Amino acid sequence: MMKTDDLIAVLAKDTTQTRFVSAAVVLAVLVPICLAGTLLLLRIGVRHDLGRAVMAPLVVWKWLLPFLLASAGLTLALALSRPESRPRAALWGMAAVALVAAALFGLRAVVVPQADWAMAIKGYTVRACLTAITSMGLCGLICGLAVLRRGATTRPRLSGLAIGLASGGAAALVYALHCNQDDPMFYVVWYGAAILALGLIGAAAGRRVLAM
Amino acid sequence: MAEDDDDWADMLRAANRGDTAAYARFLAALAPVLRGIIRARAGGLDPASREDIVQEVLLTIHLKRHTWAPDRPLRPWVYAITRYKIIDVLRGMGRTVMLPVEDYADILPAEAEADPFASRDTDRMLDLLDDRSRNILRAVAYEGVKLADLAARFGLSDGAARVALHRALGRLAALRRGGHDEN
Repeated sequence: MMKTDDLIAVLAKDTTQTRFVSAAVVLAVLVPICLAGTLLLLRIGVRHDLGRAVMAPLVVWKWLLPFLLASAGLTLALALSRPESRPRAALWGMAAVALVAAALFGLRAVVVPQADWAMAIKGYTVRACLTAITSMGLCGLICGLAVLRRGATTRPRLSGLAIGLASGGAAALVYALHCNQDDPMFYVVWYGAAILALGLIGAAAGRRVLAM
Repeated sequence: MAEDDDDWADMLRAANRGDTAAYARFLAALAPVLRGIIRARAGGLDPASREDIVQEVLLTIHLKRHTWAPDRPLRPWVYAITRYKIIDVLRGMGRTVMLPVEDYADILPAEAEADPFASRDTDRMLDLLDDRSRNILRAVAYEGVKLADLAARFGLSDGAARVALHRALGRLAALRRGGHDEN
């Protein structure tokens, strides 16, 4: 029978210290996505009218929303890696991103006649968009989880969800440099679907690999 | 209780600088407090099962000690991990648990009750470990073998022995986690 005092004696002899560096988590998510994104963009190209698109009020959200989501997701995952933290602000941040996305969709739904909704949502590059975002995002998610394991989250599923959504956001941000389908009805639905899928994969994986 | 926090934090800070004696004192000071909390919050369990949780919390705190920021209070960090582990173990037994996030400062520490507490789980998990990890942990736990002698006995360099001990503890923690996940 191992007595608790014996266990303490063993623990005291183990002098190996792990380190948990916040910047390492951020880099683990972003570097693989940037690398994969560069390779992808070299093949499929950056949209020619990028400068103009960024200035258009309904289109700029294509970058703003993923950016905000990635920031909030990383903030949440990092905060959760300290067991005693209760990170409300980051959770609200993520909710706000979802709200703005829904509002953008609603705004267009009012303007576009109902008969054209299907066309607006369907676009013509759904599969490319979904594949690109999920595969780039997966690179970031896997590396991010590997580093996040060194943290100490008491909410492994939520941590996984956060890092998954952050990876999805970062991947969408990169893909949007190529994609020229600017109707919010398209990008809210399909970028959103890919990002959400990554979030769910992250949550399922987090339960397994992030649990203390 | 605020004094205690300073004491604990000082000990753990010293431990993080490599003071193993301070670290052993820290863990020894922690154990009765954990025991008290676990008795109060998981009182339906028999003493041996509660001691299992004590050991699991100690092991987790050990492996995650780098996630405590030295400029923050230590107690909330300790309590958060303890609470998480109690819930984790009870859930593994098929119980629904609602533990409020609370300050456990009002719970009295408990000394070992019967036979200086021993854990069944740790032994069961030791049997499931790979041979080298098991032998290393047994040698250190039961014979009090020092790290340098450990290296000699297992034909390892000092550095390799240190890593092997750390890995063995990591595997032990993973086994315990799996142990109540599948229940």
